[in-house]
Amino acid sequence: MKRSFILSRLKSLLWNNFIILILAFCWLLAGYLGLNNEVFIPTLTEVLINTFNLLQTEKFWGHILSSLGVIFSGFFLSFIVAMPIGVIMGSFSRMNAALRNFIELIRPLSPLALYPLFIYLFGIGFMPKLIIVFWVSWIPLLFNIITGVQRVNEDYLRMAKTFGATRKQILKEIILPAITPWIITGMRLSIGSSLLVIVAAEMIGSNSGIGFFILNASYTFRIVNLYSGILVIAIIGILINSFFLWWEKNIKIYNNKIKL
Amino acid sequence: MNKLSIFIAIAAIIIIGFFWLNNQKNDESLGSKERVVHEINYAQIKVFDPVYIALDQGYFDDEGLVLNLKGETFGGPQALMATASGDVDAGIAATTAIINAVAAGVNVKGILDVQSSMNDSALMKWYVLEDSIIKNPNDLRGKKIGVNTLGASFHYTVIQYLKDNNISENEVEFLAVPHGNLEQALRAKQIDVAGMIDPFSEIAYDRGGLRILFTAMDVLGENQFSLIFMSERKMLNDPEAVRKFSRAYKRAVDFINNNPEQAAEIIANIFEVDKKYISQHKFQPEAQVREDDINYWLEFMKSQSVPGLEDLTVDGIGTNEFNQ
Repeated sequence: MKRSFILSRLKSLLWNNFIILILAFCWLLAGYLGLNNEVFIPTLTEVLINTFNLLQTEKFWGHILSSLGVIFSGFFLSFIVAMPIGVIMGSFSRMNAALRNFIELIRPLSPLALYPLFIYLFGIGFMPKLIIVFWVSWIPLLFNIITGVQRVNEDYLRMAKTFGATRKQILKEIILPAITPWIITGMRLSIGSSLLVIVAAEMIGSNSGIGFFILNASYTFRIVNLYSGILVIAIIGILINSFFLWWEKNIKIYNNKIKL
Repeated sequence: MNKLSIFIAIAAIIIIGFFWLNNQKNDESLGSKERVVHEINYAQIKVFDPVYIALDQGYFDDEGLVLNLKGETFGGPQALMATASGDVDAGIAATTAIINAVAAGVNVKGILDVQSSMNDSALMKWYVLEDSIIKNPNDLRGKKIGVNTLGASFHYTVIQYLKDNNISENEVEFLAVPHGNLEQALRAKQIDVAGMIDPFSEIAYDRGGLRILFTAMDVLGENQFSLIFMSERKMLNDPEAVRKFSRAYKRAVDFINNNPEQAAEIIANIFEVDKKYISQHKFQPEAQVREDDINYWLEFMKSQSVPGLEDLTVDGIGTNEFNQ
């Protein structure tokens, strides 16, 4: 039983990562056969060994933690801004109508195109990076919160009002638990964009962060470091995404248990 | 054979085929007997470059050389990368960037002088706000210094300046800020010192409120820090084109030396700035590559524990072979 469970999990893992494994195998093979352009494409083995070595160094962890610090700060800021606005817009259709067009107007503005403006407004350093992560995070989160609030079961709301629940109680006991899965989904959607922009944002006015590390590697032709930086970004993205998926799944299980 | 096996085989063929084709492109570029076309693809960077003068004065046409300006790169490392990929044959880069590129296996060499700090033409200058408390080197401790790129000429020159004044580089903080943002960062007090070159330095200084803390001349004396580089592919396949390029380039340098005002005007038009913001640039005699200065930068980078430089020699980085 245990053995078949392990085999089944292994099979599932292999299938879910099939394309990645194929590409990794081909890269490995190309390196072994000497088919890769050594200037631009180091072998997979070189990249993995280099990444492993970098992860033993305090300096590299400093870069990782610097980027993560900005990402989580930006996330937190986007949450505290999007949450009240999303609940209000989701609860009151007139507020939704009043603000919707403005949000749709600013939504397509490319954060990287705005970054020079952020630098002019906020200078170089932590602030423009925080603002750019906030910029890409808050709108997907906002829309998810609005949708979550609008999808709250009307029967629960009516029942709560019937029993004399205050607005605060309705918000705390019904709306917030109901929209939690939507918030988590919004965060998960935002994380990919945040990683993209933080790498670009750290290329200006920085001396730390994975983006700075990658740019410096490219300027000094340490191409294997460049690949290691990219690999670490990808791993961070997968780990954070997996965490949100796990959290989302457990929240849904919890909510389903509550319904029963 | 089941469907899965077929899929795997196709995926592997596609990926390996990609690498093989990429390798073929490089092999063909290096050694094949291609028809010699006296043409050079040049990665342009908007800096004071005699190539613009040569184009303006028709020197390349006189030589029967077609010079194609390619794209607009932000700096030497990008131009070097474009050369490595085969898109361009030549460009400008700091000697330090060329050293890094050669160490990484990019087949290029510096062939002509393009930026040297000389009397009346320091080029690299470091500025502070006029009312800054930084008056001497010791005041730099704990301060933020903005340079365009870490691991390049501006950065290393400051490190040398600090060393000369018994200050460790760990006692200051370096920030990589693009040339276009350095003045703003300095005035906003995001950085305490900004290392700039013209036209940015001249524009910033002209706006007032800044003073020069030190220049490259103060630290390095006369020093060549940037070169025109050429791909070895081009030097091997079409040496005549490289010689034609060198001859036209040297004529442009003569023009600049004899007609500085006119040269400044040509460059100012390209930068779309006022002529007064273009510094006077001076060049080595015959635009020669100075081996001593290549050696200086190579040894400096080795002292900074830059990896991969052990086997590098000066003649692997620069040459005057096409500049006789």
